[in-house]
Amino acid sequence: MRPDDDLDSGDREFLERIAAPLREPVALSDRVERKVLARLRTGAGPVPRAPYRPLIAAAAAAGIAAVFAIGVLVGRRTAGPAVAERGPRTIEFVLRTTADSAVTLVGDFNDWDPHATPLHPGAGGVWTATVPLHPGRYRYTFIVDGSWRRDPAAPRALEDDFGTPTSVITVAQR
Amino acid sequence: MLRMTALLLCLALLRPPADAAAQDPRLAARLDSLTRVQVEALVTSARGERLPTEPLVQKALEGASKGAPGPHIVTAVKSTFADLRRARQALGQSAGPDEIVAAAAALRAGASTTMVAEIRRVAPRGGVAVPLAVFTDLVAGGMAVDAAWRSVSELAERGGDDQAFLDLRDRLRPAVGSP
Repeated sequence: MRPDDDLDSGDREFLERIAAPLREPVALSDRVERKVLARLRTGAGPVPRAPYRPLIAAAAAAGIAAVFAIGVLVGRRTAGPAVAERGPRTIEFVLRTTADSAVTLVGDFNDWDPHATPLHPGAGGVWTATVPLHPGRYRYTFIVDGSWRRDPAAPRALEDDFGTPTSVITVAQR
Repeated sequence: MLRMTALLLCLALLRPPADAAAQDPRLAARLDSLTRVQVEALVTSARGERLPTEPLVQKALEGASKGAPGPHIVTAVKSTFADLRRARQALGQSAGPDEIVAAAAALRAGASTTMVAEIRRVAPRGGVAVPLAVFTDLVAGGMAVDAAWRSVSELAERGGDDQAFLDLRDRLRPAVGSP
C-alpha cells in the first residue's frame, strides 16, 4: 500500500499547493555568500563557536513553527472552493449489460486501474458499483469483458486522447 | 555558525531530494522508463507553475490502461498541460484545482478564454467548476457553443448554485442524465 493511498486527488492537490512553495530554492544573501567564499579562500579554521543560548533557540523554533502554521492556515483558506471542507459523496455507477463474465469501472478516481473497482451483478443484467467521490469532474469508462464501453447514461468526454469512449461525471457539493 | 547550521538544517528538512519530488510510484509502475521520464518532467514543470498535477498523472495512467504507445501518452499529457495552463491564465491565480480542470475541459470544448474569464467575473456562490463542467457537457451533447454558453452564463448571472447548473444540464439534454 502506498503511503498516500488514502489521499484523494483533491487532498493531494491541496497538500501540493502548500508544499510547493517550501520546495522553492532559498537565495542566500550576497553577504553570506561573500563570507563563505572568503573563508574558503583564506582556509580559515572553524569560527569560534557562539555561546549556546537556549532561550534564543527556543524562540527561533517557535517562530519557524508559527510561520509554518500560518502558511497552512492561509493555504487552506485560499485553496479554492471548498477543497478541504467538502466530504466525499457516494456515487453509484450503473450499467445494464448482458455480460456474464466481468465488468469493471476505471477513471480519474481509481488511477484507471482495471482491477480497482469491479461492478457487481444484479437482477436484470444491471451491474453496479459505488464509489466515494469529492466534488469535481471525473472522466471514466466501463470495461465489459475486456472491451471499453462508455456510460450511455452520462455525458461524453470531449477530451478523448486515446480513441476510446469515455464518459464524464460532475459531482456537485451537497 | 549556529545560525548557518540552523539554516542548512531547515533547508534540508523542507526540501526533498529532486528525484523524490518528481517521481510518482503510480507512473513508475505503469509506464516504460522513457515515457515515465518525459511525463515526470511535465509533472515537475506543472508543479513549478502551481498547476494541478493530478490531471497529468491521470492522463498518463489512462493512456497506459488503454495500451497507448509511449509517445502518444506523452503527447496527450502535453496537451493536457497546455489546456491547464490556458485555463489558469483565463481564471487567474486564485483559481482552485477543480476550477482549473473544469476550465481546461471547457476550453477544449470550444469556449474562449474570454468566456471563461467572464464566468469567473460573475462567479456563482459555489465557484465556477460546475458551471464550466455543465457547459462542456452541453457542447459534448451536441449543443452549439454559443447557445450552451448563453444558457450557463444567464444562470450564473442569476446566482444559480451547483445543483441548479446540473438541473439545467439535465433539462437541456433530457436524453442524458448523470449516474
